[in-house]
Amino acid sequence: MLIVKLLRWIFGYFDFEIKGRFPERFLNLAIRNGLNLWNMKGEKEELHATAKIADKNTAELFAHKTESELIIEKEHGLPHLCRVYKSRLGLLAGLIIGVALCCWLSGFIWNIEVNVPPELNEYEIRTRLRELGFYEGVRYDSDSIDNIKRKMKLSDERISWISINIFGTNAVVELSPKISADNDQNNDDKKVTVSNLKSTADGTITKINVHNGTAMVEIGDGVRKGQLLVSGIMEYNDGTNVMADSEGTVYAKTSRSVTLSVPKKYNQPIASDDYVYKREFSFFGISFPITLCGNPMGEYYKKEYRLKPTLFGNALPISITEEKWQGYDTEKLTLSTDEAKKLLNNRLKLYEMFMLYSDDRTIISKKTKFEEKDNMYYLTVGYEVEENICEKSYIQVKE
Amino acid sequence: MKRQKKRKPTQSNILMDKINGVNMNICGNREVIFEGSRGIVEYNENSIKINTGKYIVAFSGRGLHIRCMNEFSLVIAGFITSIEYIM
Repeated sequence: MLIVKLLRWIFGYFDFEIKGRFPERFLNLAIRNGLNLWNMKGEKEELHATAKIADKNTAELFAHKTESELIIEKEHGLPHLCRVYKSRLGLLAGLIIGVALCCWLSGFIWNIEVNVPPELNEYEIRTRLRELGFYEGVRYDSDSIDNIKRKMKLSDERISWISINIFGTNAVVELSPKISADNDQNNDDKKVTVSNLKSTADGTITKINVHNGTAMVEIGDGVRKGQLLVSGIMEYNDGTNVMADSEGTVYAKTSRSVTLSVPKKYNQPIASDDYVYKREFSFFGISFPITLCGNPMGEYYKKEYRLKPTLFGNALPISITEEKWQGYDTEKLTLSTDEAKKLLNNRLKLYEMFMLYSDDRTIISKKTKFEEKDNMYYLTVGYEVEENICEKSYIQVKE
Repeated sequence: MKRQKKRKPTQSNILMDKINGVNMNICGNREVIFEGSRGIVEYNENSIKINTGKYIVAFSGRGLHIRCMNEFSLVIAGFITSIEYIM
């Protein structure tokens, strides 16, 4: 029914009224001669109906033959609209230009969405894509996109796979980082590979717990960094050898020291009240500066905000970029001994929290030494810890 | 001699001959599919009369109208209160 309505609108139709003593005569004559009528409503000595614009003259002829009066009530459809707006050539020109503009603009990329994994940086990827000629406002060309993909892969070793999908005027860039062979081995082939356990630090063995493999050290032994602790090759009494993936824990007393330093005098940047704002309006990839000022000279921090409006979830090819340049002064400060101690102790806490504390490490003792030398404050801490010193070392086996 | 074209004896043609060329399919009192019309005699909101050649079939009711029609058949819709044969 929708198609019928659409076709009727395209070809045009008109509502009319037949007035006379016997409007039924008109109806019979029209039907016998193949005149298509619809929306027929009969009243006393009146008949309302609708017919195609093309049948207007025939309907008038039949009305004349049946001695009735045909009154056209309203015309509808495309031919009627064309006739009404015939004199307004500007509308037609605007329509043609609008359609042509839409067709032409649809050949450009107006929005680029980059989906990057955490290993890669979106800003870097966008900058690299721009350098290669893929930016908002560039004309879409499938060959150039293939080239860009190839160049991106060649230019950045971290990228293993890149895809640029075009949806209308939107481009979605998908990336996948390279996974190193070591990681791959650690993740997938743990159970099938042959490995030894080696020492990660110098120390004295305190506890051995081997699940798989042959222990090469005993409790009380002193070991050096890189020394073999558990061998993946197990020898049996009958002389046969079996290669295995070594597993286990070897605890040892180790000592380590860390030295933290802070200068007595240092330069502290302090934000000043000097602000410079730069605004830019971007329309279909062309940028227009809103503020008339260049980049300020001197020491400034720059922050950039970008406002990109969307419509129904799709980004529009319009954006406003604001750059906030904030000036700063440097102030020379001198640290007192107490301040330096406090600062270094705070840094030490952070170091212990992130570098030292672990499930398989216990701090037995700690010795700290604070000293002032050559315009610097030093905090040296010596630790005695008990920790698991095992590290897997894979053996390449070729059959 | 001009050979007269013979009508194909289909099931519907046989039925149409039996019922004097008129076939009505009445759906409740809201719609009638009428076949065998020779012309409309009267057409208004309360009454529609159809000539079948041998008699006139008159439909009375409220809001009657012809939904669609061609030379021999039509669909009448509205609230039909009576159907009358006028010989």
